[in-house]
Amino acid sequence: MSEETKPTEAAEESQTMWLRSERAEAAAPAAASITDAPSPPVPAPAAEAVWAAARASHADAPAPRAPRPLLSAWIDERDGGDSTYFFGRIIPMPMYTVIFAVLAVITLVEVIISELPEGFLGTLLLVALSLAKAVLVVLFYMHLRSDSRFFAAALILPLIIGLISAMFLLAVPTTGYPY
Amino acid sequence: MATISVPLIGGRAVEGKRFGISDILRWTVDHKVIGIQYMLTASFFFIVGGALAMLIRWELLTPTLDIMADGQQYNQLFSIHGTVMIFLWIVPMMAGFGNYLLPLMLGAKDMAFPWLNAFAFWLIPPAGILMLMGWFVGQAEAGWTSYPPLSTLYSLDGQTLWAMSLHLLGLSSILGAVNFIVTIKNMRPVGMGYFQMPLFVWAILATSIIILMATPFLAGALTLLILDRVVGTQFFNPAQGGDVLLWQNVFWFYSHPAVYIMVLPAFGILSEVLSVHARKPIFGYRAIALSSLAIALVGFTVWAHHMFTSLTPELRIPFMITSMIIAVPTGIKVFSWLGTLFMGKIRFTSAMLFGLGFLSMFVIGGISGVMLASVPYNIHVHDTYFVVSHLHFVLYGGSVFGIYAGLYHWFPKISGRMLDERLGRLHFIVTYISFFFTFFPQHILGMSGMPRRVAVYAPEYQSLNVVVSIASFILGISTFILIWNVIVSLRAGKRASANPWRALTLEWATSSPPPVTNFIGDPVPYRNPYGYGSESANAYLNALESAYGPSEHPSPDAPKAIKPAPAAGD
Amino acid sequence: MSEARLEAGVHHAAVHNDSLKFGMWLFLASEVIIFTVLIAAYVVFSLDNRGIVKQIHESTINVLGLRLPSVFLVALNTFFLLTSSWTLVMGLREAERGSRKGLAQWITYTAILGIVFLVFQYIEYGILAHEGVVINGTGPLAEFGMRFYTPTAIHGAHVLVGVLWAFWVIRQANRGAYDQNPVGVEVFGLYWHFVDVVWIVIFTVVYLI
Repeated sequence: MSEETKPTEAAEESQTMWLRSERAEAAAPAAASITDAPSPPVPAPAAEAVWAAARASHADAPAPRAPRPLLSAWIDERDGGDSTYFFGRIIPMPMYTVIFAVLAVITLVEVIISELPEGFLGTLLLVALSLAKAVLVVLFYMHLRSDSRFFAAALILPLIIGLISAMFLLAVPTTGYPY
Repeated sequence: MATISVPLIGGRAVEGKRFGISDILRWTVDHKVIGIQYMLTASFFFIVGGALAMLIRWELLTPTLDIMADGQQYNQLFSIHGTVMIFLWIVPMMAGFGNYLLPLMLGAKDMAFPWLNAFAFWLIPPAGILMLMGWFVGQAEAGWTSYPPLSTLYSLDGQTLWAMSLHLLGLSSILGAVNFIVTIKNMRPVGMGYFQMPLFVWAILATSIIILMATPFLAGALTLLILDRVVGTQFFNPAQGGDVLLWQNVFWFYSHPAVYIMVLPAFGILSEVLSVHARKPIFGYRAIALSSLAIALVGFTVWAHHMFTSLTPELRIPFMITSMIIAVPTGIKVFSWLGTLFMGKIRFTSAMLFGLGFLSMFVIGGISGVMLASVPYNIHVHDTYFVVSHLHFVLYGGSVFGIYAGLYHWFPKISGRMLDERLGRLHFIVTYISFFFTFFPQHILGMSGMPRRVAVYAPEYQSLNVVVSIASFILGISTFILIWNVIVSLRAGKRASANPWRALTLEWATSSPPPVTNFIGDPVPYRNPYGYGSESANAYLNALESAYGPSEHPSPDAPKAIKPAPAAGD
Repeated sequence: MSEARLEAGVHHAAVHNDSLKFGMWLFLASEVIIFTVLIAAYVVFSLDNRGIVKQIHESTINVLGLRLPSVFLVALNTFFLLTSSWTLVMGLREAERGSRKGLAQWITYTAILGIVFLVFQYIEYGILAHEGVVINGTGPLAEFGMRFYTPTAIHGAHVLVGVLWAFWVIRQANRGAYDQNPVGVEVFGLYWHFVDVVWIVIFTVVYLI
């Protein structure tokens, strides 16, 4: 039984305790005494000598930069989240609610446009409005505006690849040779 | 207790207890055990796929049907050979290397999501069983590409199982890729920026990006295929408003990048092996690292060169150009590797031999790839043995030789035992020569017009086919030298020290095999993972030796390292 | 020393949260591609067959004796899904303020709205099937049908998974799993909002254009 649980414990500890930080280096002597590794083949001081030799090889890592929120010039939270700065106005509602109101209005406009006679302008507007909705949800509800830029890359890269492939599918005649 | 007190393979899943079959069959979240599970599963399917290949070559000894009752049986053989080798051997094998090595190279205790890691692995055995179950209901016979209408209107229920199996395998690779990318982003130790990562980690990063962006295309296409076969939709049936080219496009959106999924990790293995065994800093670290990403991105723009004969002709030239462009980052890598070897103190270990074998054979495959990218030539040799030859040079001469090099290189770390070097060299020589005579004559067969995927061929091709078949049987047998070597070394091989090759990357800075927690204390990587030849590197390696025992290959570093490591702080 | 370790622990939790969210984003990246393939399969058809698409868009439905354009039902559905996203972030807001009860309440609204969405989708499928839009068969309506049902049904399956996940989140919230660290709610939110965004795209591309 205990054999089965051992890797799990190690893994859980890896999730909570074993993540990089500059402070971890400061706390290294305390963290070095790992208790759940029974009968280590090499004593910890010997291993620590290896790390010391490696540490001699490089200077301190640069500190990470804090990201700046997108769109904060126009829309932002105020009063600890109870009101919202929205294009020059202070609205006494949480930001999430303000964004929801905008989304609802855009949806209504979209439905109205779709009931008007079909045209190029209408289609363009529909695409633009739905894009605006998607961007609002992604930026504010999915917190992309303040989260890591890597998250944005994880969204934009597949969108580009997906759009290229979709455009290609639309451009190519369905039966290959058009004649 | 058996006489062997050191655990056989894998991490010390249980300290002091022999690592047995029961540990492999068990659900565990230890990345080392999962890596071994991946490797063993993949190796099993390698043998299955190899047996199918032997049957194919046996059938092709004569121009007529010999052991097959009809062409349909032959179609099933090569379809499952291709699918098994790609999706159940190379891809899981590379995932196995990634799983075992990535946390060790990053100085982490495990992957970012250990449970997800185990889940991704355990999707593979059912998928493999599902694929082999096809023999009981009429196996898939539309080739590994499964073009409709062959795969929709003219195939048996095995095709549905094939599609479901691939769906599972795709999900497994996507989950694995998510895990790899998050691990690389968040689990690096203090002092390891992105450009201090070992190149194998870069290769896994690029591979994971491709898997993440490309595999869902396959998932989408397979969803439509399964709907066509099970629900009765007509996505791929032109008679009912469908479109056969939809499959070809979407399939190659995935499957051309998938070629790089299979070969990029081998590139990473090669970068490690060449630098360590040539005792020299890698030449052009950033060029190799970034060309992996370039290959990953350009790889998405070349798919239609597989469809030169089915696509509208206006699109041939653009795809010819992009296909040739992708040879540029690959060429950058090849020249960087040559630059690494230049003036190095090369040790001809088995790992290095397979690395050099990779380099030579992959270049042949790459050049025939550029030949295939040019439209006029492609139309001439389309669907002939030239294509078969090209893809085997890339996937066997590239990926599989890379896997072999990685096995010889990391086996001491994984098992705690050295592989037998004499058997290793024998394995290399037999494999290298028989590989060449298996696949090189196929170039000539293809250029003279022998189509692929046929059991009955024109009699004038027989002489070369006999050469190919005999060489392929030797190639098949040569694999057993490796298996024999592994078994013998596990039982009675020399004990491996922590760092038998005197390598600088972090996975060697712990005992072999590593303890459950991978490292003792907080690991600190040596600043430059390839900084061989500098004084600080020697000091680091000597500290490692005095802590963990002397290395098995204490050969000196290259005396005139072209670019010494930036030795900061000493 | 202990204070330094505590701070390091806080930092570790931040990285752990970042890992979970990044993992979810990467999974969603692959979902983007799957939905691209399915929606593209529809768009390829709809661009060449405007007549059939128009005919289906201009059909009317009977709601409580009123003849309404068919887009009415699905517009209502879109509204429900958008609202469910809003209730979810309001729940997250409560979780960040440490209110177990508020969190469970708002997520319950999300789950209910998800179920309502699925029920309406079921009704809509029934109406369309009645008009002859089938997934397998022959004729232009079947050609439309297979390309229409596949992306919308797979989206519906995602909503179903989201509803089940929402129930899990409610259970965990009541047990106090998010008292210290509401990242679980946030990761669920990423998934749910993504499903919402996909619906925004499907709504425009399939129902409006």
